[in-house]
Amino acid sequence: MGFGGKKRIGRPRERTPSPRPRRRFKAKSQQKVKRKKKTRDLEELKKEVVMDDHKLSLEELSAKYSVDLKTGHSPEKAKEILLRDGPNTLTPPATTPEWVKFCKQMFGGFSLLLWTGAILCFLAYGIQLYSKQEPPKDNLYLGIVLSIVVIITGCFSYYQEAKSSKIMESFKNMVPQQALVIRGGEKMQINVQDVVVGDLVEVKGGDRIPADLRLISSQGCKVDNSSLTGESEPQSRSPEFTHENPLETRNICFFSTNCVEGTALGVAIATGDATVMGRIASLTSGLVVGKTPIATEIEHFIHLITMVAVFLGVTFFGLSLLLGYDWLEAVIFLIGIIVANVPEGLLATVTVCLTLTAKRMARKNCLVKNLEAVETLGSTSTICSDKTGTLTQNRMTVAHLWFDKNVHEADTSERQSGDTFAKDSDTWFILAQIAGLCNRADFKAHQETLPIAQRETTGDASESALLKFIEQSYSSVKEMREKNPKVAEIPFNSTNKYQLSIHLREDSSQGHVLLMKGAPERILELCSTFFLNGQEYPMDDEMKTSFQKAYLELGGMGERVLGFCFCNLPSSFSKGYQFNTDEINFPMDNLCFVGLISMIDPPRAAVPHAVSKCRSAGIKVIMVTGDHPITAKAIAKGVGIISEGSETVEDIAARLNIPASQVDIRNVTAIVVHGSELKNLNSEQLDEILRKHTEIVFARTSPQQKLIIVEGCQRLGAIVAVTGDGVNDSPALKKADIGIAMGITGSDVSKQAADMILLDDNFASIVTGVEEGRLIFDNLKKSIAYTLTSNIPEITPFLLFIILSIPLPLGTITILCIDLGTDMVPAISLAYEAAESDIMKRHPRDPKTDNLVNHRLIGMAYGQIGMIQALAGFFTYFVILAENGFKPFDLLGIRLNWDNRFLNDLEDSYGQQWTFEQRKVVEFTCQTAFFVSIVIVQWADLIICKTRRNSVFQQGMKNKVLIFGILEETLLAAFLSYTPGMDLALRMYPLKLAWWFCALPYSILIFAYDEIRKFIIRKHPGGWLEKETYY
Amino acid sequence: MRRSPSTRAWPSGSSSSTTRPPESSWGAPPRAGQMDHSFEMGLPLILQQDRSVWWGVMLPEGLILLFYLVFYGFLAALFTFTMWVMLQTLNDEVPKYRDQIPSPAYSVEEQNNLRACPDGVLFEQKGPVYAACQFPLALLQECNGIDDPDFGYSKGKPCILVKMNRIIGLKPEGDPRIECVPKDKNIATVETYPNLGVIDLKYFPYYGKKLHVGYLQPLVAVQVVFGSNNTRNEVTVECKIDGSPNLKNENDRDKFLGRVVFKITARA
Repeated sequence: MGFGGKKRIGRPRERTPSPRPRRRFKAKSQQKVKRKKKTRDLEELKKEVVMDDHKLSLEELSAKYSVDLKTGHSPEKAKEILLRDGPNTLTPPATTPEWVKFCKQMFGGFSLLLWTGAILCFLAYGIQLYSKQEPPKDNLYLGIVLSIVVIITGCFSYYQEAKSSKIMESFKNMVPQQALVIRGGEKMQINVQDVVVGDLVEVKGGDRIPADLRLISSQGCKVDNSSLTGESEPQSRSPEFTHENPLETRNICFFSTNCVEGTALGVAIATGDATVMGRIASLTSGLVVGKTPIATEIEHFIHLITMVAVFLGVTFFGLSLLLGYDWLEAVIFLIGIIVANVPEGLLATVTVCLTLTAKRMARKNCLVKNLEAVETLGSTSTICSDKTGTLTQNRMTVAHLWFDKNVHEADTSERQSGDTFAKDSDTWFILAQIAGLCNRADFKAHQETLPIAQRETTGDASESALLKFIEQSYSSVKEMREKNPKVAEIPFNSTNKYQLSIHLREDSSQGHVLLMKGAPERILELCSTFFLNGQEYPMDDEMKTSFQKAYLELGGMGERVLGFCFCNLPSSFSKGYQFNTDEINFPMDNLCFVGLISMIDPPRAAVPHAVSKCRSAGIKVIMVTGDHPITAKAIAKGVGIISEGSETVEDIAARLNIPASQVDIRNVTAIVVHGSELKNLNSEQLDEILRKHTEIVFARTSPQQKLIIVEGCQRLGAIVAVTGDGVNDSPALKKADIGIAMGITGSDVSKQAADMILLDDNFASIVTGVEEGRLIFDNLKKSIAYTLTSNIPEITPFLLFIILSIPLPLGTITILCIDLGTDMVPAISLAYEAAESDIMKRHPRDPKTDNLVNHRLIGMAYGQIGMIQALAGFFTYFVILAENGFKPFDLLGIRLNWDNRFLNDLEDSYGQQWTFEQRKVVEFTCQTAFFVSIVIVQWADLIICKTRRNSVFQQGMKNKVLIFGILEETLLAAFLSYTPGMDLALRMYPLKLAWWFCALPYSILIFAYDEIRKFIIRKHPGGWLEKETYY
Repeated sequence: MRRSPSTRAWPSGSSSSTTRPPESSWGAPPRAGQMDHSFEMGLPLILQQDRSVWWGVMLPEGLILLFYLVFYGFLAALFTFTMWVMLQTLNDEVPKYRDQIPSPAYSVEEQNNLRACPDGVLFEQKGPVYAACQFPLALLQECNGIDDPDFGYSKGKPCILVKMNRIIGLKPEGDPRIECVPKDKNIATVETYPNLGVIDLKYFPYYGKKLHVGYLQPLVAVQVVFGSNNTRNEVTVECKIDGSPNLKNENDRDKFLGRVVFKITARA
């Protein structure tokens, strides 16, 4: 990893005699300066880890921590340090209290709009109460209903998110951990949280490292640092100082990584939040995350709606004053108009739509923690993906074999079938024998039923890969080992770079065979002959050249290459000979070279397809990994992150045989950036790299660098998704617009930091997520267009009531019946609408210009379709009044008389006289009919909202929920109109059948108009109509 | 909602012309007396600039206005057309539905009359000319307003006229009459004219404003007579229709359907 190559020698540590920074004290004593300090700490945390404990000798170490390296701390001293430093646990990220979360749901974004509406209603009612004798209760009811809607929706989304976090809880490993420490010369088991700095800690295979340890002694200790680095390859640990970089040196073990095998004794050099892991965790929890794109969109939408509402309200406030209403009345009108613009049902609709998508995504293995994040993936324009475990299978697998001077390819897919190369060669037989026998890995017991590829093994990754490969494509290794018992062995070590074993031969010759595998160049040195098609030939230059070629070829593919050779020991070493591996008493040169086997952690099968889908969807996929550049590049090429034709500067330089500095960098789109280079870049240079290249791989990156890369992408305006599984990924996960953690291999910290969890760890699921995210964005548009449209037929009655002084055509109750009743299911049903075209073929939306709700949508909904709908309603209204005796022109200006409770002989156009109650019944019948008319024109609106460009005839009516929605709203309307008692409950009256059809011509008009509009848009893509009306 | 292009283009153009020295913009050496000229020369340049902005922004802006103009024009035409069609279906004489007012209400009024008709039977007519039946004022006796132009108000015996709301085609059955009862008989007594508050059937049915010119509905006068020795001279009187099975006088919601309640206060 690229941690601190530049030496910043122990800067924070040296000033403090205590190894722990004094942060904890300060946090306790100086609460006031905490805030300012926090931001500074965050900057500090973004820097690379600095420590020097790995460079100290044991004596220095003992002095530094004032501890005896034999007996450890005395229990009293340990207690003292524990009191001073606090328990050895990570401070849990400051979780938002439940009530804050609840309030966020209650008062965030959209809810605020509704609350404002409700408060205005109560205000209006207050004014009426104050100014009138018997005020109509409409405003009171409306205020109450609005509040209820917000509260219910708030509770609903709170419940939804609480449910997701419940699933999170279940990931947590609650088992208390124990640590073995030496205190006062005695070994004792204590809880991990009681471990203090300077404690002598003993770890063994299977343990979790309880603190950052500087090793004093070890026996074959190997650790799995995957939770820190993301690379699961076990690394050996010993007391020697091997590298400047504390993360690379052998003598440090890190808190919360795992000891895989062996034992070790070390001094705890940091505990709790001061550990490397703790720093990353604090960095993660300290990051401030921005708004989700959908929240921004909803904010924008609220702005638009508010503008329209205030504009209408103020206009009609002025108008009503001009018309001679007194100002108190005008204020009531103002409030009424503003409130009427609030789409009461939309909050619920949006929440339900997002929830439905979240559920659908969960079924496709994308668990979304935050409802709003559902859409974020759809807006994503850059994905920064971790390599190991996300793009790859996180399992070493044999990829290639080289024997008989030919490269053979092995099957690396998840379900290995094996039979992919010629196995009739004798060389293959020998190679398989060596790979199977000279191998310390073994299958764990009781896994016979599992496919070989999925069985668990003991031993390191390469040996396990060989074991599985041989088991799969040759024969049972167990039988092989039984037939050829091992008599001697030299295990692999880093100085020898080979592994040797001697076996009794299977045939009756009683002889032994020496098998060896190891670093290819080392193996070749020991060989004097080579094996070709079952014959031994003396080693020649030709063979050496072709070996070099093959070695380079396989190595260049990022694969780990092992060489294999054998030697039939002469008869003097027949059965019974005592082989001594310490003082070698058998020949170990003039061996016979057989071939090479190379291994790689292969990409998941579905990844290349997923990457290419992301590509065609205009999403840039960047690989950010802690692994070596060559491997990273090979995998990047394998999965298509670096596409087939692309070359990096180094590739071109190699091809043209010129130095890299001479390559014309203008046409280079691919680049592999090493962590150490990245460290020296300033943010402009990083931006330049990110801007200029479409195919980028970052290798050997530290957690801090991952964060910097994400911030760089965001600076360029991209909406960034980050995938990762390790703790090292968590700062980036948190900072990303959407962090995606791995559900199976992911660490708890990464899951906490993420917004979404891939339950199957499969990168391909992200594509599904993108697809769903884009679909819901489109469908939300449609849903909002549908819901907003009916706002116009809801507002205009009130406006005309004011201006023309006609009986009120649509009352508050009926408006609520539409917004919260009939419009709900149809609006939600649009969430089930299928995509109009291949949404994965278009580019991600530009968050600046491509808004959820834009003026075109408002124009369509309010200016065009809404107006037609209003006419439909008014037509029905005038028909009913006319047919009952009040002709349209006689209605103008009738309002004061009409609403006069004490005028009981109001004359109609035919000379008949009406009591107050009688005309009110007619008025409410009209309102019911107006309501029914809106339902009928909303049929057409729903059908036209299904598509934005295509004709309904192209799209079809396959959305069953939508058809149900149409039926539901119609039945609900009929129910409200005809149920006995509704006249008392909601003042809705039964309608004559003919009145249902008044709105039908307008419904047909809406449909025809929009089909024509869309037809023209399709015929003239990019034309004027599209620019003005395509939302 | 969009910014007007003219407000955006003009000020920027003109301000740049005033702040920029004309010499430098033309690259010509400054000469006396050329200030005005160059300013004038500058103007067309600004106009030119503006026109490009104008056409760039105004064109779609103008088009969208035109679009909405045409669109709303079309909608207005369509609406007018459908309204016209609807009005054509209406009968000029009788409203299509009369089920919203099955029963008349009662209220208080004065009146005026026309022609004598046979008493006690419905006066059904076939047209084309419909006559209205005379209601002789004499029927109202003390409340006819002829003998006492003050309708008894000056004597502490106020007359209230109660009438039925006009409803086209209403044919009362039985012997409809208006019965008025004071809440407290000790305070006041109530007289109704014509006697017993009878409503003669000859005034029914009504054929509508257009056909039945001059029609007015029959009246019943209610005279409240306060007891002379009373100190409290306030009484609530309830009148309701009676004697006709198809005229309702009870409705929870409509307090004026088939009845009327009024309160009379007299001050000495």
